[in-house]
Amino acid sequence: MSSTFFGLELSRRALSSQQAALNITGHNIANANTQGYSRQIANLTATTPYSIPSAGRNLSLGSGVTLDTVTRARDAFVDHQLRGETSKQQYWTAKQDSLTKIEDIINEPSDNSLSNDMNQFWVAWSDLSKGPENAGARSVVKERALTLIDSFHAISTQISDRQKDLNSQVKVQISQINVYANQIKDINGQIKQAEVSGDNPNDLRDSRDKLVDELSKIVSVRVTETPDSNFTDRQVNLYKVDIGDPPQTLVNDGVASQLQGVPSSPGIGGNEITKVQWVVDNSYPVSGLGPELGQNMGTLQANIETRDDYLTSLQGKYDTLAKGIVEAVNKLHQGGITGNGDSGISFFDSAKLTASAISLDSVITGNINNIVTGDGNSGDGGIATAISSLSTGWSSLSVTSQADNKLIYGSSLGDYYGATVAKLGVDTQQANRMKAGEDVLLTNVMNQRESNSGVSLDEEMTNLIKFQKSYSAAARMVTMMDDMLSTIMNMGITR
Amino acid sequence: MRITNNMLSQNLLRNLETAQGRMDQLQNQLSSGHRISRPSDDPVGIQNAMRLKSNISSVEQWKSNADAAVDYMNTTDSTLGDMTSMLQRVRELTVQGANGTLAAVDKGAIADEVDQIKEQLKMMANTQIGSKYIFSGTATDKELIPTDGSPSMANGSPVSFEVGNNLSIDISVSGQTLFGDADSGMLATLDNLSADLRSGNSAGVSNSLTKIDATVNNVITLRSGLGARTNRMTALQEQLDYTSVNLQANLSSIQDVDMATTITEFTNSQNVYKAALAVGAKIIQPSLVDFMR
Repeated sequence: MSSTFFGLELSRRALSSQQAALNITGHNIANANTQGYSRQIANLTATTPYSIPSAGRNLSLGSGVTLDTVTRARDAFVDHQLRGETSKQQYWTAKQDSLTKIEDIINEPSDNSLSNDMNQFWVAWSDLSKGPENAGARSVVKERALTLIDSFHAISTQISDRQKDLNSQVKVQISQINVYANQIKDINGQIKQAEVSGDNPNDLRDSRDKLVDELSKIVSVRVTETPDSNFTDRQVNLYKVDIGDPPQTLVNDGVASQLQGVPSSPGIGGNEITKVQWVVDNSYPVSGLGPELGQNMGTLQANIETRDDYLTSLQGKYDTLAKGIVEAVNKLHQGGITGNGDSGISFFDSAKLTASAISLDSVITGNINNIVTGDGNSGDGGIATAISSLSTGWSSLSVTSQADNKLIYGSSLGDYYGATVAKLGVDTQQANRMKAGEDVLLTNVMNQRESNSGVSLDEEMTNLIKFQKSYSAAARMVTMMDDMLSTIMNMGITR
Repeated sequence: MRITNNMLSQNLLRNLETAQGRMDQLQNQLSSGHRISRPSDDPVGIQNAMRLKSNISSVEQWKSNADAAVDYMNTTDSTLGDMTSMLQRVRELTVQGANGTLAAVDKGAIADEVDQIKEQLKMMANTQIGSKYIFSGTATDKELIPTDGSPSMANGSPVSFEVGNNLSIDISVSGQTLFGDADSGMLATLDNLSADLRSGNSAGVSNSLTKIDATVNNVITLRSGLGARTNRMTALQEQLDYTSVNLQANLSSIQDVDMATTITEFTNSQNVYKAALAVGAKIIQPSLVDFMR
């Protein structure tokens, strides 16, 4: 036979369990809009039954409810997928961002673009060819050349600035990774403490997952959680975060490795380039090891690729174009004679063959009459015509230079530049499309996570009512027990 | 699938952004009139567009060169026309002067007129368009027959204007061919004629007649050559106009917006956006909270 107060104890357990469940529901509602929060579930279980002998056998008599565990709704597989997609999506986002900015820099097609300046430059020569004695046409040629030169300089400077900008982004990302690694390491310690004491620290886990989510934007991340063999009677895990592909350890439970930026070989125009390396520690005993970033994963890789390869090659193309213009124009220009009978004069400074350096020869800036139009006779525009026809091809050059230029620039300088711009267009378009695709994939996975871990207010309201009703019913039970006990207390009292 | 409030609002927001992004793109296209505003819009298109723009600027320049060339040639032509009629007058005078019965005074008067015409022709040799001496070959800053009597620095090189891809046309008439050299040329012939008239050398005057005929023929030949080139230049002008229009049309078809299609698309995306807003307003508001007391 169970105790008289058994019913009261049962009700008390019910009251406190339902109240705890109500609090958990409240916690969910409070965090409905919290980033990285996963809804928590109150796992109520029936307590161990009370065994009573009855009619010669034992009967299990239910002893009520208790709050067994509080777990969070989280799917590790979805997390894994989400982080993978985040890395890819962020790679293409960063790439798209950079390429779009480069598109802005080159400003094609517009009336203020390098190609337009080039056209104006050739046209100015054609105009000069029809009036070589015209000082106005001469100064127009000079001014158009200066505009073209300015455009080259501006683009070159902006490409170089972009490289500097990306380099500082890389530096920021290195320190972000380090900060995340340290934070994850610290949370690992806190979680371990809780786990050792038998707790299930849901909110700490959420914070840790959120940090890993953030980390996956910069580099690809792989997380492994294995049971700690030192604890057999309770669930204590070792938490390891690897980055890159093939994965390299960033955080090994209580130890965080660090990355460092090492200033390295100069980039465009002597820009400093920061190389990413592991700081020497137990995981990375050899100095100078760099992280393996894998294929198209994370903003760090996108920035490094754009900084080291894309911008350098783009700058190289502008350098080649500037060199082509300088050499072709000079070759023709040197073949003519000025009005004063001077020959072999360069139009552009023949020693400055890059987009950042290209400039007029000092003889031309000094006196526009040194611009050669032909054979020295004031009305001969043969050389000017030859230079202006560079706009359409190489026919005015010698046969050997024609072949040389064709090999490098194709059918004309304008075509070479057109191809450069088109290449940028194709690359940007690819980045746009890949980003759009990854956006969709990421959205799908995020919806999956949200579907599993997100807080549904309707659901929480339903739970609220459910637990509230149970609580009221348990309280009713206490009242009933109270009545029952009064009945017992009043037994045998005579009035 | 379990649907949460956050999912609803996030999906709505994303869809709104997509619809707005599409509207923004179409709005840009409509207000700029260009389908391509950056290389990634159409990488192949932009390469063609750049090539066409380069062609158009060349063709426009060739047109302007051709216009200037035609003006130049027309002026040269009218100068040559004047020369022809003056030389015709000289021929008439020569025929008159060859008449042996003419009094010395009258011959003197004829010689005076021949001298005048010679002076006039001499002036014409130094005709300028702008600052260019048109009969001095490429030495356009030098007189063909220097007024100060110094030796001529002019040459017979053609003055060429670029009016097409690798196409330069000679727009000048060689003054050296036109006037001949100092001993036997046009002016020397007139000098001799005048001297013969004054000295009463009738045989010399008659001889001059053949020379003058040859001179007139020479001028007419040069003029008709110039005329032929002017015709060619005029034909080129038309051709360049036509090419320019064609290139513009090509460029337009590559880079310009098809208004009808784009406006339709814009209206369409506007509707999508409105629908998304309307649905969003309905879907986000209510939850179970609204129905609990």
